[in-house]
Amino acid sequence: MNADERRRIDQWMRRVNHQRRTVVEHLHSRSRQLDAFQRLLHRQLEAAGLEAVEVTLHDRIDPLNGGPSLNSDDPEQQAAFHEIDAADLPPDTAQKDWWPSIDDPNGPLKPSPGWQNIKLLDKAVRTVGVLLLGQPPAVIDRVVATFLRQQTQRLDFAPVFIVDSTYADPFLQYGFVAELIPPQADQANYAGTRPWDAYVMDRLRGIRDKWMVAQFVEFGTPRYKIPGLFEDDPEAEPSAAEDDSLNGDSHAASHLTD
Amino acid sequence: MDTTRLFQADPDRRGTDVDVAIAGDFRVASEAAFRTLNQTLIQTRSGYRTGLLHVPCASSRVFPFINPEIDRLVRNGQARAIDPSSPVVNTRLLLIESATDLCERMLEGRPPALPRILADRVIALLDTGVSAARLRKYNAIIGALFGAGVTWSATSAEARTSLSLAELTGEPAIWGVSVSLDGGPVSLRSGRAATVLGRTTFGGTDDWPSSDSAQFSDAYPSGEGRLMRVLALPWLGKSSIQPPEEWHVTSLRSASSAAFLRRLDYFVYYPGNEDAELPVSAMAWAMAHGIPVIADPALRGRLGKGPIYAEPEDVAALVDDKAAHDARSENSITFARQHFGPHIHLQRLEELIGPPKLQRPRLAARAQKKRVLFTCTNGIGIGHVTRLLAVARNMPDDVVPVFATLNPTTHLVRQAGYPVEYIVSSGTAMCDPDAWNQWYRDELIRIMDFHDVRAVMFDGGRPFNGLIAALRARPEARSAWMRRGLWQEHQVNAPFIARQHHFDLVIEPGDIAESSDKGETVINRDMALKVDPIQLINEDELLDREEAAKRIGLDPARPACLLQLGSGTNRDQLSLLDGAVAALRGVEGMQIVLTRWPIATHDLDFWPDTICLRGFPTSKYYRAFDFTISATGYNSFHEIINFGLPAIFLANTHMALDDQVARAAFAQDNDAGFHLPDSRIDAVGALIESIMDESVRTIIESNCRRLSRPNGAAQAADAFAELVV
Repeated sequence: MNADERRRIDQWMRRVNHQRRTVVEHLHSRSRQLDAFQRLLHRQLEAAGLEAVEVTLHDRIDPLNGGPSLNSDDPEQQAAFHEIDAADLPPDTAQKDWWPSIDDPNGPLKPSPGWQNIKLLDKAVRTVGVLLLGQPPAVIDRVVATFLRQQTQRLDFAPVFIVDSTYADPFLQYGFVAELIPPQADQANYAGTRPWDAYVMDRLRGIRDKWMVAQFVEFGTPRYKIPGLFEDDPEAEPSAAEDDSLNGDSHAASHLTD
Repeated sequence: MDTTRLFQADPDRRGTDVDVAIAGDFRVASEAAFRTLNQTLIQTRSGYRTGLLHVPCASSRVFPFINPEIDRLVRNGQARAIDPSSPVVNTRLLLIESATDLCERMLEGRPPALPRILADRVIALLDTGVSAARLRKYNAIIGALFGAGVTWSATSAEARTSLSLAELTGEPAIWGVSVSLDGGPVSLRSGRAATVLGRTTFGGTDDWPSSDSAQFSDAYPSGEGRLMRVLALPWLGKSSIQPPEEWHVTSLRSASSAAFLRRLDYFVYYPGNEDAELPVSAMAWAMAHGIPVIADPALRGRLGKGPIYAEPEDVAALVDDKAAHDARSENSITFARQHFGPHIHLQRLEELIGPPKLQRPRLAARAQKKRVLFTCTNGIGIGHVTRLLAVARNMPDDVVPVFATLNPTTHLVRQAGYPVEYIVSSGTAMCDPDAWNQWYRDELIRIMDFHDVRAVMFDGGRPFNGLIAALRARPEARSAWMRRGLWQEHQVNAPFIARQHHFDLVIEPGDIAESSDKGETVINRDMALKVDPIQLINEDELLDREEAAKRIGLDPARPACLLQLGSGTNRDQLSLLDGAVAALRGVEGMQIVLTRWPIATHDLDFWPDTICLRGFPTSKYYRAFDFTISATGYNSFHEIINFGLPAIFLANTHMALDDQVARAAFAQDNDAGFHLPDSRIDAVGALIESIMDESVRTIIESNCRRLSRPNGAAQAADAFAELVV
């Protein structure tokens, strides 16, 4: 590539990056405006008694050939999901110089900071893991709103929510990342080739490594021994309790890890 | 039993303990690697514990890393990698692969690091002919390294002659090929029209006829409904041949040979000359799994009775005779399982070291009911998840569906009664797709392992790199790609559709508007099994008008319209709804219901006196409505036409979607609905006026019935179930 071509590509890249920044700025302001506008509209409709009716209808969709279903009343069909015996633990697959493997270790990912603070996409901010296991939708709504407020004030973190319910409305609405751990009530149904607790701990470790979570905050009764996550990296465990600004809504923050 | 103790055991230091230790250079991609792979699988299946001792000694045709197929044995727990610094290795049998390479390295004065090995039996394998003098030298080296009781065994006739000429102690019988049958029988019903030919190559100079010769083009006939695939070393193109552009070359660097082979209809092998290193194990594996081998008649003396021998110019006619394939396949299975089955190796082991000591081989712990994984791309709406649910609920009762979706509508899957895991998509996380794909691969592998899945079905237009990598890492799991048609003509999809070669089965759900299809899938349709359009529910599951209206809160005696314009993720849905609601308010007594898509990011409850319907599947309530104003995504469109609901179609024109305009135009051309472009939303009032005329609705409904087709979900489920072994 000669110098002219190089210069042309650099100019083009600068233009593209400028356009990207413009789009991000636009999204940033528009998503905040949209949120405020929706809230205003809802308030006014409510005041005028002109609300739309919302109807929720979720129907069972059963297997057509009598196959397994978690909704089945037949214990045998439920049992189909947990009939595997625990087998051997997977081998240690760490790279060794005497067994040179093709796989490279994965680098961490940066989670979306959400629509309303999308400008953080280009900034180095820490990731906070927010555990919301066993929480009902109303608490999830409140906690997400609290973290959004905190993020807007501080502009120094991006949350990754960890839930065990399939309720995803606030994450979709605000553009936040949420990781799903199958609910504890379904443990038997999900039983696979490993003990459930070992599987979940692997999953939590995976979430920590994938998003480079610097801090976990847990709401509700502790479901898993989260500090165990950091046994191999004690330096990475800041105390959430010291960080009052992340405690947020006192009604929701019934428990924080210590 | 001949007991050769190489070193005195040190009672204070316990080391690696296995039944069979295989020593060799595992970076190679060769017949020896395929042998190690198969023998290890057979040993594991039967309860022999296998250890692999990597001795880097080969000088050519090696990867800079362990052959990925051998590496997978270790990662899957089917073999143990032996640390050369282990204090001691206790084994009942030590099998030395690459014995000649090891000796050459010793002759060059570069002895490899080896652990102390205590073996009951030691066998060195010889693959090729070697001069007697050289072989005696090798024997002395191997003896010095592993003790005087080493036995040589030949894997070919020429190697046996060499052993005999060198007057070395050797096993009298050739160390014959024996292949694992872990992959189960290959499905004979992939449903594709194209015939797929293929072969492997280790890159030897004698491995191919000259690529500009008539023998080359005759023996490997591609085009005219035939596709040629090659599993090769990454540097194939730089060495012996230049593969024609239309061939599909898969790199041995990252592929699984078993997965490659089972996707062929015929294994075709014509080398440059008859002395080439033959991929005997690959041919035996292919035949044992029902893939007939067609070979050069000059190889009859080396390959025996199994293959079909034909002159190059007869290959095309042979493979074009589709009616003969199944019988040839059965013959191959019968012959190969008798001559190359796992019993060959097991019998050999039994004679050498006796039966296995493990009571329960690890692989026997699988669930009786077969688990399969349904996974899909994020998508703009819920089409991919819905199609997968349709197939899942039609699976046989001995198959257990589990889901891993990139689409956040996990509640729909749970509602349908299936376990579901969610993987955050790169779009949702707004992160680098390359880095994300590595995590996606790892998460899929974790899910596949935890649920012990035997097959994976993916629904989406673009199988991600992470998915392909996960399938490569777990080649024993069969794979299917379900891709609906009507891709937009201008989209550049060739690189994505080429990924069909990584799947055992490609299913194309039919499209009522497929006569308007101009997309990339059309020219690739011969690679797919075509089924009828897939939809989640059948017409007999729809509620009647009274019941449906009651549940929604509608008066069945008054007119009702269902507005379903999709998720709103990529179009100005609010303006369209505003126009439609305003026009509908002009109809006396009209009841307006707006569907809020489960994936929607914003509310739709801004219009007083309307009902915002959240739920799934909404088509169950279609009879509550006189007509719908709808987008033309695959699922909505087919439910509307198949269930005969009169519609005004507002097609989403987004460039990344399927050709939804073609569907809307098709319906209008067939008088089965109205097509209204977004830019003409001001004209919706006139169309509403027309569709409110009962005679118009009757005509539309009758045309919908004429166009309707059966639900293809059961056909797709049957084909997928056939893959599950």
